[in-house]
Order: sequence, then structure tokens, then C-alpha cells
Amino acid sequence: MHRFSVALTSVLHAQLVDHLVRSDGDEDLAFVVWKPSMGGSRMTAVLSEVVLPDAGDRHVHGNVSFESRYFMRACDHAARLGGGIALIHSHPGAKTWQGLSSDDHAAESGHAAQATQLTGLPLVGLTFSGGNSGYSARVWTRAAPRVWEPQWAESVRVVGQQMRVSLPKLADNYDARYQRRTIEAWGEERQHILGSLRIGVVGAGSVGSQVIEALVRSGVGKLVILDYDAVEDHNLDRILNATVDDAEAGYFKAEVAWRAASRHATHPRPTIRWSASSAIESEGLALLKDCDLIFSCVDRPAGRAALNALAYAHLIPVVDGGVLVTPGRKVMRGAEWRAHVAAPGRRCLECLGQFDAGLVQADRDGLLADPTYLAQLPDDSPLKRNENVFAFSAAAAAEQVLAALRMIVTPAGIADAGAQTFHFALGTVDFDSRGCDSGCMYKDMTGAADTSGRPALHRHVAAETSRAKTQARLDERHRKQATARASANRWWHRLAIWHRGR
Amino acid sequence: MSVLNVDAAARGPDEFARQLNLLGITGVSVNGSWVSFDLVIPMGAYAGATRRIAAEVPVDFPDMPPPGPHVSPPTIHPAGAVHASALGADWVYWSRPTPGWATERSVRAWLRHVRSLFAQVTSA
Repeated sequence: MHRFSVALTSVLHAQLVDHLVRSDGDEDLAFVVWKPSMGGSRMTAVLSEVVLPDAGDRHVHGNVSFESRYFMRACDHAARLGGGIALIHSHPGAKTWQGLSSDDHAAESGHAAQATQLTGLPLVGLTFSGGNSGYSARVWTRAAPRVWEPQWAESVRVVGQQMRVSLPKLADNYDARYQRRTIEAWGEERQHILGSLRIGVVGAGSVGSQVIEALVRSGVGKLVILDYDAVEDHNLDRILNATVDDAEAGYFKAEVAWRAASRHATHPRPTIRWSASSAIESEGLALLKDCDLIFSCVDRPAGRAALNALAYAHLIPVVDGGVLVTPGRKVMRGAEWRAHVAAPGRRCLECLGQFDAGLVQADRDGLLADPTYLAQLPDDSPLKRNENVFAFSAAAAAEQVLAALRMIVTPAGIADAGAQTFHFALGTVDFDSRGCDSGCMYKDMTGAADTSGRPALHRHVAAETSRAKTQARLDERHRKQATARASANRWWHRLAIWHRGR
Repeated sequence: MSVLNVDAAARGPDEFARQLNLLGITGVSVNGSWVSFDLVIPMGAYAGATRRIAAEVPVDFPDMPPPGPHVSPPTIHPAGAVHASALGADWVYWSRPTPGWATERSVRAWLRHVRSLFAQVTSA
């Protein structure tokens, strides 16, 4: 069975608060349309639109009840949008994850079959806790004929400039022996949230390797690392934890990062996975859709375009950045590095100029690894620039991690400092707090999840080529090791015969 | 929004061909991910001539444009970046990315790019 979670935008959250928090302190309810986001091991119900009750559709009397016509109208609307329906009701004074009373259970289970029949998707139930503006959630599945049971969500995340996460329990997400100073900084609740988040890191090179180190030291325990490239000699001046042995053996960067992260994790039960797949391939995309937050540590357009779609359509915030060095002829002219978060209400990666859609298909086709293709790009194209220094990557990685932490920890109540560009020569920082440009395609797909058809799956020729090359190298290494073992065995055998002969 | 912008469900090579037909382009043919058509060159050394143009259209067009035009018969471009085409010896591939796609995701924008490339050809 897939795990289950719920996501909604901060805009939709504000609409729900407006409706559910009543001046008379009574409970209230509403139906909400949701769209499925299917990952490899988790389904997320992405709430997309509230269907507010008309006059007489529901009855508020301390508790709250609804008329059948309201339920049918919501189902009909959801079905036309390709979504399911969620029933949300409020517990005005509650401050924690709410369970189900017998009345709540009866109301939701009693409509589960019909909602599934009418929309083709299961009923989702949510309880809004008025005391802390948090949620609890469950999805109703058929356990036996005419028996419907709730499967509880592992989290409900509200995504916008801030990322707020409701969790069913605040236990076992950190080990105080290893996190004492960190918890003293931002408190137990934030540490529980960090420890509960499943975070994807796409790219385990110069920036990604340092992002991963910062995350596991900070108590992140559920990590997915994607990179299809292998460690090479020329990477060793920048990739944290990669060694000459790794380069000689030709290990995947993701595997090297996974090994280090597993050793350095401070979470009590780390579950860290790695994959040599790309964000546009089926395995990689399925792993990323299981995540609550993604770090984009790639510099190519196809990956960034896919991650940008995940940020808006699937409400998985993407923390992106990068380093650009301007070498000069004799004296280095400068360097800059960026950090920003793509999420609803913030400027997307395309509007920030972090990728050019015109180059995406060329990247998928492997042309951006082809010197003849690169030769015709302008001299100042970022795609032709590979200069980098460990310290620049360390700074970029730190700023990306800080941008994510700002969104979750909200120091002094501030979640978003805007997109930031740091200048090495001047030591200055530029801020860009604009939203997306008008007509932005990504903004328009907010909350559409799988019904958007985005991001689409593609072949990624560069990934296939890199994996084949790395696998051939590993096979050759294994062949040599097997030959050496056989040779050693022959010598031992001769030695044993000689020894017996004496 | 341009009139050629389409609903989210219409994507890929068929949508590319549909937009070509809307623009009155002739000889439109779809073969898998390839869409080919006749283009009368408006400017440059080949002004007035007709070239066969092909595009390998991604499944998520118009989100993303085809990478560059394939041209038949083989035609040299002064800026280079002319490669062998997957379509055979009668074709060449001009590997030129479409600029500014985010501002207009349509065949019209892609054709503007192709016509600009031909306008740069000043001697046959």
C-alpha cells in the first residue's frame, strides 16, 4: 500500500481559515477538490480548490452537518476537473493532530463509497485544528465489502513563502544526544519537522555533496540522492567526501554521497537512498514525487525544467542555486552564486532565468554534452562555463540550505528573503522578491498535480550514456578483480602442493 | 495570450501539426515524433525558394520547443552548427535553440526563429 500525504498552497490554506474559523466558535466544514500526485511509494492528495457551501448546504449547531445536495455538487465539480473530493471540518480549540470521533468516523466512512464511485478517486478526510491552524488527514480505502477504513497521512504540508508541516506525532524524529545545540537554536518542534521531511537532492557534485552533508548534520533523516555521473579526477577539488579511490574506481557521485551521508547522519533512524537516474526518467521522477522538499543542484535545463514543474504542479518546493565564475585573462574578474526557492507565491526558475526552455530538448537528446553543439552557443552561455572553486560551491550550498531553513524555521517570522545573488568581488548581495511574470506557464499549473501531465517522462541520453560508461568501467574492474583472485588462488594451490611435497 | 496557445491537453507532434495547418503551412506530415512541412523562404539568399523543414517535436510541446530545424535539401548556414541529420543524407540539422520560448510557446514563434535563421543566409 502506498504511503499517503496531503499538500495545499498557503493561498488555499488562507481561504480555508477564512471559512472554518468562525466568530461564534462553532465547528464548520467544506468540501475541497484534490488531485493525485503518485510517487513511487506515496500518494499525495494535492488540494486544489475549495467548494464553499451555499445557503442551506450545511447546518452549524455547535457541531456541523451537511445536506446531500452539497456533497453531490462537490463530487460533480471534482469529477469534471479530474479530481477527487476531500471533506474538511474544524475543531476550533484543538492544537494537535486530531483523531476521529465516532461521529466524524461515521460521516466520512458513510460517504467514502459514494465519493469513490462518483469521482473515481477515494474520499480524503481532514480535520482543521483551530488552535494552531494545523491539519490531520486520512484517505478512506475499502477494507472489505461495505467496510471503509482510514489510512492516516504521514504529513500535511502547506506550501507558499513559508512551509508549514502538520505531523501525526512529534516523536523519534531526532536524537537529543546529537542535536542539542541545534535544538537550542530553533526548538524541538522545528527539529521534529526537519527530521520528518523526505528531502530529495538532485545532483551530488560540488554543491549537492555539501548540501547533503549540511542536511544530515542538521538532523534530516529521509534523503533521496540522484546523480547519474561518476566521480572523475577533475571533480576531486570540489566534491566533498569523494576520494582518489572513488575516482579510480569510477563510483557514481550519488553512491559516494550516500556512503558519506549514511556515516554522518545524526537522525536516529536514517533512511537514505541513492539512484543513478535523472529527474526526467521514470525511476528518478517517482523518487522525487515521494519528497516534501527538493534541492536542485544541477546546472542543466532539462532537470531544472522538470523540477520547476514539480514545485508548482505538485507543491514540492525546489531550492535551487548555482555558481558562475568569470575568470578573466590574467586576473580573475569575479564570481557569483545564487540561492532561491521555487514554490507557489515565489518566482519560478524559468522566470528567474535559471533555464532556457529552448535548450531543454537538446539537453534530453544529449547535445549539451556534445562539443560540436556547445561550440555554436554564445561564448557567455552558462552551459559552456565549468570554472568553479570549492569555496564558491560551499557558499552556494550553505545559502541553499539556509533558504530552505528560513522557509521552515521562519526566524523572526520571516520565511522568504527573496531570490539572492552573492557577489564574490564586492561581497554584496542582490535580492529579487518579484513573483512570476504574467502568463507564466508554471504558475498556471499550481496544484494540478498529475492531471497537469507535468513533468513528462523523457529519455535522457546523457544519463544513459553516463550509466553505460560507468557500468562498463565497474564491470572491467570486477573482471580484473576476478582475474587477480583466480591468479592468487592458482599460486596458493601450487604453494600448497609444493608444501605437501616437502 | 496568443490565439495559438492551446489547452493543456493538446500537446506533442499532433499539436505542432495542428498549429502549422492553422497558419496555412502546406505539405504538413506527421511521422511519429517528426513533423515535416514546406516553407517558402521569405528573406535572405533563398528568398522565394521552398525548403522542406522537419522538426523532432517533444511530447511536451508547446511547453518545450523542438531543438532546431532539419532542412532539405541540405543548406549551409553561415554561422555553422550544421550537422548530419537523423533523417538521412538529403537533410541537414541546424542545431539552433529557439530564443525566448517562455514569452510565446507556439509554432508561430518557432517558425519566426527558422525564418530568422534563413534571413542570416546572405549568399547561396
